[in-house]
Formats: sequence, structure tokens, C-alpha cells
Amino acid sequence: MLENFLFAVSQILSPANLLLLITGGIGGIIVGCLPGLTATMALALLVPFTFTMEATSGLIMLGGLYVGAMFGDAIPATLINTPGTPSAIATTFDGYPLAKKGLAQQALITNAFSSLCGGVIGTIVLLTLSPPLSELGLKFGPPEYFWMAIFGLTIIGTLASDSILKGFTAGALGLLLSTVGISPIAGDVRFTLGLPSLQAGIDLMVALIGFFCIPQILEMVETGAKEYHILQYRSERGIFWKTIRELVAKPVLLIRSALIGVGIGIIPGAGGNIASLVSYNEAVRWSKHPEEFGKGTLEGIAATESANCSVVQGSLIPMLTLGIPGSPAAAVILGALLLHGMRPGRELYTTFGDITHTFILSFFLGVVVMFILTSLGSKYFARMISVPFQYLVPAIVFLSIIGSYAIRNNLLDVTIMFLFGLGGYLLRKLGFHSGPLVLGLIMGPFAEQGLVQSLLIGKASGSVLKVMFGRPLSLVLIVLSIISILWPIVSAWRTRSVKEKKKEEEEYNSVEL
Amino acid sequence: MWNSDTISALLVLGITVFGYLEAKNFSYYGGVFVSWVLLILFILGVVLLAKGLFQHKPFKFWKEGAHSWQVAGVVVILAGYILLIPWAGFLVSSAVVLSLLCLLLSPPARRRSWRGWLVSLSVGVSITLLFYVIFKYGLLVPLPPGVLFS
Repeated sequence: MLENFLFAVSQILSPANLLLLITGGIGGIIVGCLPGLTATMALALLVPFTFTMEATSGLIMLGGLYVGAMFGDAIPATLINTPGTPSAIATTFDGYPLAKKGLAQQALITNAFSSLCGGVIGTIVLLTLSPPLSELGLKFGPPEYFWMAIFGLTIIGTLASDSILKGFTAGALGLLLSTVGISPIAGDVRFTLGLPSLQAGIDLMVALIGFFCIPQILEMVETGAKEYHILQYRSERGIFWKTIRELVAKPVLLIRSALIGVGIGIIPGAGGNIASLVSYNEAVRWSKHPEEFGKGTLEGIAATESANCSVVQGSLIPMLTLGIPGSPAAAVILGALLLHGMRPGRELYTTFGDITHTFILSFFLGVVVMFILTSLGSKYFARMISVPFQYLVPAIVFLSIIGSYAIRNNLLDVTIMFLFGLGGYLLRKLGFHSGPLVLGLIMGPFAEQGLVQSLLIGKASGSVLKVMFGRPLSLVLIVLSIISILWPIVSAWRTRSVKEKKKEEEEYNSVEL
Repeated sequence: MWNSDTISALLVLGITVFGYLEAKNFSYYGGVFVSWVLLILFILGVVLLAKGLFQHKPFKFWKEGAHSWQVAGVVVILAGYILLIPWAGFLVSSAVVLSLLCLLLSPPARRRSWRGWLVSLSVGVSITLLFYVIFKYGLLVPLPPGVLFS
């Protein structure tokens, strides 16, 4: 192990590999920044080029690209309220409000530092705890997936602070939208309006661009964007160290979020979008100031970005140990490993131990390099929002159109994106938030597949109830869901009673005087 | 009567009815999840309607001072863009549409000057060319050339 580790350090610090890591990372940041382009797509594009390289060099570049995309997707989420990839949905909740206050640079530094923490913690877990954790991930069966989706949906209570009723309605609409296309088990063609292109369902990225980007553009146009600028950037001396100090003072938040990211990353199919939303919900639940979330708090950004980045390493745990990719991007990396003749499992840690350790360490160095690059660039990225509105809006419109087209090279996706955009704008006017709707769209497939498979298993084994409620992991998820539902109610009741107590004390004191 | 809750409720109930009519033909395993979601939507719609009936704040689509004609302009331009792409292709339609958008969103004084038109045109063309090169040659995304140019 030590031999492999030392070899990995020597390999990764060689100038050529370092250059490949930085190149991959910059490419990843660009891809992450562009809505519509995902890390998976960029990795798939890069794999053929790495085939001609040495295995270590190729994997280092892929690692850099993957990490770079996780750093880059937070930039548009913060600056223009449009997540670069689905993993950055929750970053919009506090990143954009902070940018609106003129603190875009602080938000971007928080993104970078939290991603660094998530990446470092994720890499340590990947290096040390891979085999036992991968077995835990495999214990997730259909009922657990169903309950995980229900647990994920309970976050709506946190997301829809204005109207929980409208939040749940939006979530249910999202669930209904997720059923468009061919049903997962029975093969029914549902809600396709006779269009064959819709049989594959609604692409999440198309929905994200539609529900987040277009309504944002229309709202900016409607308000006239003050002085023809979207937002004002306020430069502040010493903002970097001030932000880092504030974040370092919250170690529990950063570590908890990173561990949530790793945990969810291990579960095959559950990616950064779910991890960042769950982590955000937990941050609200454990915060002493939950009322500040959604208004531009560093804690909200730190929770989502730390989890979002550690998902990368989490998704690699079952891939490296069992050959089961935890995410689509991990599946592409699995393809790259196979191309180099490396088969997942014990062999990776014995015969190819040197290369595997180099690959894992590339994530460690990758997050450090990306932290430096994005922190240095934060000032310049933040200035982007000061570009006059009449130039920035056409650029965002163009990226939305080309981004939604590029996913499947399909013009119908562009039309769907535009219609979702108009629908999202109307829903915002009616007091709905895009967050719960997209959450329903993300959780829908997990919930449906989990439910239908559980019903089938239950009917075959004689008891649906036993399958749904009788497994230990399911019970843990059910308890977590109940706590998550009750927490906002209990918290609101506690806040109200504290306020009433204070009011009574003030009245008593005034009478005494 | 017409407040945000009642309008939302009618919208939700309308979607529920449409969903129910479609879901009638699904098989048991293809429709079980849909049925549960529709039931939840129906309940939420009814609650929203009940809440709306007791609310007296009327719904106003545009806030005071809203640039409504500019919003309508952007929507029309975007719809035109999507219709134009299959005919004129990504390159030409994007350059035209982005220039128009830039002009529409410019301050009024600039919209009336020939310089404003020139700047809008150059911004539209340069944004289009920049991203066209990135996507087509850098990221190898095949962009539609359009019926007129293919």
C-alpha cells in the first residue's frame, strides 16, 4: 500500500501529469459552467483521446476533468441562478441571493472552499474505507430506493418556505412530469402526446434549463434590471480570508455534508443532485438560524457544494471495488479503465495498485488545483454579472437554446425547454418555486421503480407490507423521512413559543416599570 | 374569486383530469405510481381551491412598472427563434435573433440610434460565432445547418 502510495505521489507530481490534470480541470470548469453540458458528456468525449496515453496520464486527466466540472457548475448557479449541471440545483438557493447582495465573489469562494473540503474528505474515505462501504451500497434494494425518494421529497418542506402547500403541489407536478415516456417495468407509453421523441422521457437537464433559466431571464427583463445591469458586483478587500475564516469555523457542517455526499454517491444511480439537496436540508435542520437559508447564507452554499464534490469519490467506491458505477460519469470512467485492461475488483488494488492509487490521488490534487484556480478566478467570474444586461441576456438565451439542443441533438428538447420556461414563469407568478418541481422530477423515477419492483417482490413473496416496511435500511429511511417532515413544524412551533415568551417578558417588564 | 390560489387550483385540477383520462388505459404496473400521484395532486388541488375561496387578494400578473412589452417581445423572439432554426440553421438564426434581443433590451436612446443597431448586430454575430466554434469544433456537437443551407 505504502509503495503504491509513494509511486502515485511521484507520478502525479511529474510536470507532464500535472499539466494534464490542470488542462482537464480547466476543461471541466468550462463544461460545468455551460448549462446543458454535463461531466458525463465531457468524460465520454475525452476517453478516446486518453486511450493513446499511458493509463496513469489518461486517468489523471479524466480525474481532473470530473473534479473541474463539479467546481464549475456552481458558477452559473451563483451568478445567473442557472445550475451548470443538475448537481448545482441547491447552490442556486443561497448562491444567487448572495450574488444579488453584491457578494458574488464571497459566494464563489465559498463554493470553491466547500468543494475542496468535500473533495478532500471524499478522497480520504475512498482511500481508506472503499470495501466495507461498497457492500453497504449493495444492500439498497427497490424498497430502499422508494424510501430514499420519499426522504428526498420531504426536503420540499424546507425548499418551499413561503407556501408548503404550493411546494408539495409543485413536487407532485414534478413527479407527474417524471412519468412521461415509457414506464420502467410494464413498458406502457405514457403522456407522450403521440410524439416518439418523448418516449425516452423528459431530460432532466432540459427541464432544469427551462424551469430555472428562462423564468429568470423573463423576470430580469420584466424588472428592467436596474441601470441595465443584472446585478452589481461589490469589490471588498480581504474577502478571501474573511470567507475562509467563516467557513473554517463550521467544521461540523462541512464534514457532515461531505459524508452525506459520499454516502449518497455510493448508492448506484443517486448522484450529486440528490446529495446536495439532502445535505442542504440537513444543514437547515441543524442550523441555529434556519430562517436565513434561501436568503443568501454561506452555510447553504457550503452544505451543497461540499456534498456535491464528495459524491464524485463516493460514486467511485462501488465502481472500483465491485464494478458497479455509482453515477453515469463513474460508468464512463469504468469504460476508460476497461479500455486500459484494468478490471474492477481486487485486481485494481493488487496488480494495478500503483495506477489505482495514482487515479485516486489525482482527485485529491485535482480539488486542490481547482480550489486555487476558481478562487483566483472568483473576482473575474463575479465581474461577469456587471456586464450590461442587453449583452448578457442574449448570451444566456443562446446558451440555454444550444445547451438544451446539445444533450440529445434534438430540436424537440429546445421546444420543451422553452415551454417549460414559460410554464415556470407562470408558476412563479402564481407563487410556486421551481425547486420542488425539479425535485419531483429527480425523485420520480427512483420512487416509481422502487414502488413497482417492491410490489412485484411483495406479491411474489406473499407480503407487500413486509417488503416495504420490514427491512432495516427501509426502516431507517422511514424514520428519517418522518423526522424530516416533522422538523420544520417542531422548529416553527419552538420559534413561535420563544417569540411569545419574549413578548410576555417584555410586557411584564413594561408593566413593572 | 380570481386569486393565485384559485387559478393554481384550477390549473392543477385540469392537469389531474387530463392525467386521469390518459391513465385509464395504462396497465396496473404502468399506472399504479401515476394513479397515486394524480390522487395526491387532486387532494392538493381541492385544498388550494378551498384556501383560495377564503382569500380576497386578487391576482395581478404584472407588477407596477413592469416592462411587460419587453417580456412579450422576448417571448415572441424566442418562439420565432425555435421556429426559424430548422429553416435557417443555428448560425444564421442565432445571429439574427441575438442581435434583435440585444437591440430590444438596450436603453431607449440607443435603440433609436444607428450606432445602437450596429453594436447590437456585432454583439449578436460575435456571441453566435464564439459559441458556434466552441460547440461545433471544440465539443463536436453537430448543429443543424437548416433546410435553406443544407
